[in-house]
Order: sequence, then structure tokens, then C-alpha cells
Amino acid sequence: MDEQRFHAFYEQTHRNVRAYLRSMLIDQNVVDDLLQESYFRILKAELPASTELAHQRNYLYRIATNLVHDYRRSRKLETLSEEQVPAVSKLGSLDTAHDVGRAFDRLKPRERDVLWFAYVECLDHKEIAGILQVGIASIRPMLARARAKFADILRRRGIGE
Amino acid sequence: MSDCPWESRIVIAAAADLLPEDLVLHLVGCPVCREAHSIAGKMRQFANGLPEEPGPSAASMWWRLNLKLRRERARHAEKPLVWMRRISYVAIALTAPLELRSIPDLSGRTAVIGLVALSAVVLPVSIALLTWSRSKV
Repeated sequence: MDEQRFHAFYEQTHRNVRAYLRSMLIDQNVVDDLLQESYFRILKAELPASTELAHQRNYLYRIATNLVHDYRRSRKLETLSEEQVPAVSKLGSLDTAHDVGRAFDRLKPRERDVLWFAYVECLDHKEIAGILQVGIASIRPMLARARAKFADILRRRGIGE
Repeated sequence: MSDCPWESRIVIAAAADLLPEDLVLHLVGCPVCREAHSIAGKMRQFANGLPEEPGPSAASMWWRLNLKLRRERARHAEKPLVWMRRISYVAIALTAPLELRSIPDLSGRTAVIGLVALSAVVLPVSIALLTWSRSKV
């Protein structure tokens, strides 16, 4: 990847990848480190120039999810404690967003991944399967389970519908 | 609760904040899509609420990554040299006693004193050089 292509790719992807990392981790420094490491690995992978942007982006997410899971495993983190949930910053829906964040963190990392990629990134099942390196057929039940569990947590916290 | 073929359409439409009439009607009768729609909304709310810290610019990231890449390549290139050095140390350690034994003059007391004196000079110099080279990395 030459400099010009990297700039374009970075501009198109870094906000979303950072948001994903931010939703999974608390420490801002760790987020920065993993973001840099993700781009480093994709640069090292030397994907052919003809690779589609969507494919590159999914590959970047695959690297990022693996890094997050490795990091959490090394720190023996499964779910975060209530105090460690990433803070939300925007006014208005702050309380709800924060509560949703706390509820989100009660899920297992894989459940969080699948919900994030399906509902924030709006990726299709094939893309999610590629990122999470699981069979495409397993995404539908994974997503249904994660969604039901999340809805249940939200309901019990009085945030759900 | 299982799944519904309309689910992905609902999610994409919800992300765009546009729900055509047919989807609205579908939502009324489909609990799976209602839940998917609700969760998608909550997830977006959460994602939009995450703080947006200013990250490094593309140019800065490119510079950092290239520096890291160069360092890694240099480390990689050094690996055979490091192994060669290790092998030569082992070879010297193995052959030195045989060599010393083959020279009769070096097996005596004088030779031992000479070797101790030599190592007294060589060792501190080697350690100093090693420390200096590591501080330069």
C-alpha cells in the first residue's frame, strides 16, 4: 500500500475502527496502541493494490477484533465492571447512551462483536463471518442470541421497549 | 424467537433513519424485526455517544508505521547475525580447551596467569562495549 492509498484508506476507516475499539476497551492508550497495531499489520500484510476497499476494511476489523480478544485474554477481562464502562460524552441522550453502554458491556466479547458489526456497521452476515472467522451459518443464531440477551438486559434495566 | 428475512432490510433502513411504509407495517406484525429495530437504535445511540478523541492524522500514522516497519525489518535482518555470533561463541568455547591443551607451553602456571590477566582486561572492555551498543539502539 503506497502512502496516498494509505491516507485515503485511513481517512475512510479510522473513526469507525476507533469507535469499535472504544466500545470494547476502556483505556484510551490501549485504544490508540491497538489502532496503530491494526494499521501496522494491514500495512505489513501487503494486500494487492486491486483489493476492494470493503475487503480491506473487513480485514482491518478482523485484525482489530483479534487484537482486542488477545488483549482482553491477556488481562483476563471478560466483562467490565460497572465503573469501567467507556464514558459517553454527548449531551442530550447521555444518560441513555451511558446506560446502554453499561448494558452492552454485560455481554460476552463475541456477542458485542456481532451486535456491533450487524447494527452499527450494518455489515451482512458473510462479512461478519469473515471478520470473526466463523462459519456464515453460525452468524444468524449468534446474532439472535446476542440480540435477545441484550434486549433482556436492557429490559431489566428499564431501558428496553 | 427465531429470525426473519426482513431483518437486514429493517436494520439498514433504521441506520439511514428511513422506514418505508411497507417496513413499518411489517414491524407491527413481526416481533423479531421489532426487537432488531429497537436494538439497532440502541446500538447507534451508544455508538454516537462514544467520545470522539482526535486521533493521529493519516500523515502522522503513516510516518509512525513506517518507522516501526523499518525497525522491525532491521531487527529481522539482525537475527542471522545474532545466531552466527552465538554459534561462534559456542564453537570457541568447545575448541578452546583442545587448542590450549595442544600447546604444551600454555598448560603451565604461567599460561593460567596470562589467561586470567587477559580476561581481566577483555571482560570489562566487552561489557563496556555491549552496554554502549545497547544504549545506542
